[in-house]
Amino acid sequence: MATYNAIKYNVDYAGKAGSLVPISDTTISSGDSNVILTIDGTYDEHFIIFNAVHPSAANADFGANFRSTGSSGNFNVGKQTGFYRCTQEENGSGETFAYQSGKDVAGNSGSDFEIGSSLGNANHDGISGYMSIFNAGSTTFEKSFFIVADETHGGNIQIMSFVSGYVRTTDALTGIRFRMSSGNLDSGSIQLFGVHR
Amino acid sequence: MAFYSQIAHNVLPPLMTTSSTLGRGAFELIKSITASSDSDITFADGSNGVTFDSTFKTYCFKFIDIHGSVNFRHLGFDIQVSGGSGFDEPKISSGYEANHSQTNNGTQFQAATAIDLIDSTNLQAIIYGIGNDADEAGAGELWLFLPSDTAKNMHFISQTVNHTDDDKIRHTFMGGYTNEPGAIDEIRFKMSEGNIDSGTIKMYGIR
Repeated sequence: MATYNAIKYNVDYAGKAGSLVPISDTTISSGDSNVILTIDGTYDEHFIIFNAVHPSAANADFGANFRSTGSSGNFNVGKQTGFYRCTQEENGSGETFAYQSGKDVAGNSGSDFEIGSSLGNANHDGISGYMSIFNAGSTTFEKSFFIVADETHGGNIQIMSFVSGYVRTTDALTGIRFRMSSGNLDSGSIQLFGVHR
Repeated sequence: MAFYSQIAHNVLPPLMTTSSTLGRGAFELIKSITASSDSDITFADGSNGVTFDSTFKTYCFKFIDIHGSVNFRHLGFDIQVSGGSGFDEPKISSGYEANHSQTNNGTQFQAATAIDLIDSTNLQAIIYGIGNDADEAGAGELWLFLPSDTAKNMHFISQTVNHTDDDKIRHTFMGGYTNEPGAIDEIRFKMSEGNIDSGTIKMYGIR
């Protein structure tokens, strides 16, 4: 049966609706252990926005992992990442700008990779940012991605992190999962967009 | 069920099928303002056709050919919560810059300590040290994440590039947040001194 939306909004926009296409908008509820987004070869690029993602547990790391056509539904595809960041102590006691060798993943790690580190879980704390994943459907190349994120660290530190990497598989990617290293995702939203070919 | 677009054009409609999102580009232009020797450019909710509230989760501002009246001055922003005055919300930030001189005799890759803030109400500079020769300007973008949230810090991230007063390309990333509770519904852009002589600032929203 045709739905109201399908009848009313199923119109052809002749490519004039813009190239950034909303795919999904996940509002996080208290108790959500993760957010899973489906990606595929429909778009050349997937663009993801994290809006004020807040953890239930203090000092949890915010991370992600990929699923592919060859991973049997598991989020454990091998990755190689680089990680550097800028930090600013809220009390003025110092700032840093450096590569973070302990926060990258090397070789062919199936573990979650880190985006935000030791987040605070006070009401005003959280992490926001954006991510691009390129050509998720490729069966020829490894898949590249990069992230820029800004967080409120549990130690009252402002941190802007730059994470980039590639997924070490020539299988097409089918999904990405975001979660905390401990506890749940408590609130915030994660939006997925496709960038038109 | 076949969709009209499938039959007519062999394409599937977007997956999101709500009246507020379908058929839109997700990147919606809210307002574009072109400077003309202005002391500031302000985007305030409900003023001059600007929507700056919970209608959009994320806002992005694009800076195109920003040219200041005074040499070696910085484009920056101040924010204001709903019902506030004075654009005096405190901000904390950090960032870095990559510089390369036109004469190829020097590079820097370092923390942007000249423009970071520590719980300060000062202007948050995002394009640092723009030259004011006729052909010199700066450009870039600024993201604001969930400014309508009244409980959480509002995070921001900017990326800019400019021709500096001493003839370098400068690439600057800045990130940070405001600790002020309350929904942000105004932002003001200005130079650290003098006017914004020319250039355009575009405000986009993502629902």
